[in-house]
Amino acid sequence: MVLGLEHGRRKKFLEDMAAKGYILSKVGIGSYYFNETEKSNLIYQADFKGINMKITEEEYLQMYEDSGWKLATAFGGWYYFYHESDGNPDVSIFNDNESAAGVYKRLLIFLAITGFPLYYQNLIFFPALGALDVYTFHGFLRLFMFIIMIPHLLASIKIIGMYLKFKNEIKE
Amino acid sequence: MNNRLLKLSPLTEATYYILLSLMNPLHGYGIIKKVEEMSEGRVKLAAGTLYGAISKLIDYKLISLIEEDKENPRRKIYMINSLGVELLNYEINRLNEMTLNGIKEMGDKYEEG
Repeated sequence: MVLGLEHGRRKKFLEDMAAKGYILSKVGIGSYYFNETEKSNLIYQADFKGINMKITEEEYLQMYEDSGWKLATAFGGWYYFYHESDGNPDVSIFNDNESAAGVYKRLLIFLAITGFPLYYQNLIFFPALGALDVYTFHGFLRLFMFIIMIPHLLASIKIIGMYLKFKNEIKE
Repeated sequence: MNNRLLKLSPLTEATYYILLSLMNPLHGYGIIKKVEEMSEGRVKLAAGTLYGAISKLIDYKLISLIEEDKENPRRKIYMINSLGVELLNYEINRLNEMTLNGIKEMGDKYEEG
């Protein structure tokens, strides 16, 4: 599960790759793709735009462009930006913890919307687990949905944790 | 002042300055420049914070979309509305009370910076 780059190993990995001359070109499930380029000191940040009807993707990307961030790639609602480093390692796309927590709030709303049919189908609409027969089409489908539910649940718990972490550190 | 608005106070420094800069119509880039100018270079708005704050201010109906920028239609121009002005007034009075008390209680230990 992709969980942003704000801190941690993934951000460092991408920045180390840039220093070796490989720039991020594409993100897939559990994998990064790079293009060979000149060695450069870059800073990477990822943002989750979330479902927002009022601010279009065009306007959103324009805001990043205006602040000097270049779009490397986008994947699953996440946007990966990079910035030429001026030696300051703390360059961030956020000024404060409130807006950093906003990413996790948007993620939670997104997961709640995508997760609703999953949980509804499995636990509310067809609650009789005893009757699960995996050899019928419907039984197989249910088992499959259960398997998807596990990472969905784990991701939701992790995101709530991240959200609370930032939320508890909010200063005026 | 209704309770829904009061819950937004205290505003973060970034949100306060974004709302204040929208006393005149501006697009995202204009907001970044205006806030930097007002704070004499101290507050440099970051893109993620700007996006989050604008979405929130629209959701609470404190600012409204006015039009698209003529030179670059991908930039949208916003302006504060009456609810936003109401919140700013509340916030400025609150901050004013805090600084006046600060200066008074600090006495001669207060050094203007």
